[in-house]
Amino acid sequence: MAFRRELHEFLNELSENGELLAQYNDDPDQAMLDYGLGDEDRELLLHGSNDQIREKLKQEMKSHVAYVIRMG
Amino acid sequence: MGRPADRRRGSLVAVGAGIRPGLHLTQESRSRIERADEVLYLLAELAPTSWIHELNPAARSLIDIYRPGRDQREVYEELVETALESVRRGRYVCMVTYGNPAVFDDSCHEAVRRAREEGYLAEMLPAISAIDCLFVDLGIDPGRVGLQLFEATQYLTSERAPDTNVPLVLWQISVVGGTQTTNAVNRDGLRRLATRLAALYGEDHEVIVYEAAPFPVGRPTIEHVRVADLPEAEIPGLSSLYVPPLKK
Repeated sequence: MAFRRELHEFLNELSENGELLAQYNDDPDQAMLDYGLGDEDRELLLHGSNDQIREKLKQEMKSHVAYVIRMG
Repeated sequence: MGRPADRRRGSLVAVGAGIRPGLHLTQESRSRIERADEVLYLLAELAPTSWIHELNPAARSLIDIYRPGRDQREVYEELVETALESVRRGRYVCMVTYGNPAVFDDSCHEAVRRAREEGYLAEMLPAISAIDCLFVDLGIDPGRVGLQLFEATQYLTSERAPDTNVPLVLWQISVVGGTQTTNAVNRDGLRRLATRLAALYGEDHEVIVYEAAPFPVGRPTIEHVRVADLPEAEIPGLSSLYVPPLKK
């Protein structure tokens, strides 16, 4: 693999690219490999919890925001 | 309401992005985002957002308003006033929140109410909420025996007793009992919630910690736990609690 891309880039791409989403639904691992995700990110997306994915995204995006709560 | 013919007059539309970013958006809402002068969006904390900027390059995130430690009421007021300031300048403003803007969303309801009160055109469009995902993921049809739905903190602080023979859903259990924005689970609030549920259902009653899949791909969180174990359970940030009825 000549290039490496990050998890948040992949999720962003999935949110707007129906073709990539279809590829992922057909063969998740191949779609992630073709996109350029590393082993750790592929494993995380396939088998990790949503909070584990959030932790990785926080690291990538250097985010410190709070939970978005809907009413008080 | 399409794009208002009189562009000098501001207007507001509140739409929901659904739970899976970019994938749950209705055509109706998509059109409003594309045509708005200003798009102000607030999605769940780390959701993909490039799809909104693709639809409207003028889109602006309001996520910085959710700095940890702020009073929630102060946050809602800032959200509402940020949207209304643009409406008052004659802009066609589209507020985008995750889920359904009409469901557990004081800021959207208040923005629409206040805009109308000031004489501006304002409306809200339906969208996919976390409760819609819960019905699907847990295989629950509220038409069978009904459903009780409360925001967790409201439930904890109210005197209202649920009907234990009707399914109960409590929203936002990660922050139950709190009044400030936070990025940590409120374990003390969970203990109080567990105590209350144990009195009604028993400590061994099995409940489900549920979180809809928050990313374009992936699975929902579905964890079965005893009421007594709830305070120490893994609680994802946007979890709800499904409490099955005592009598099946």
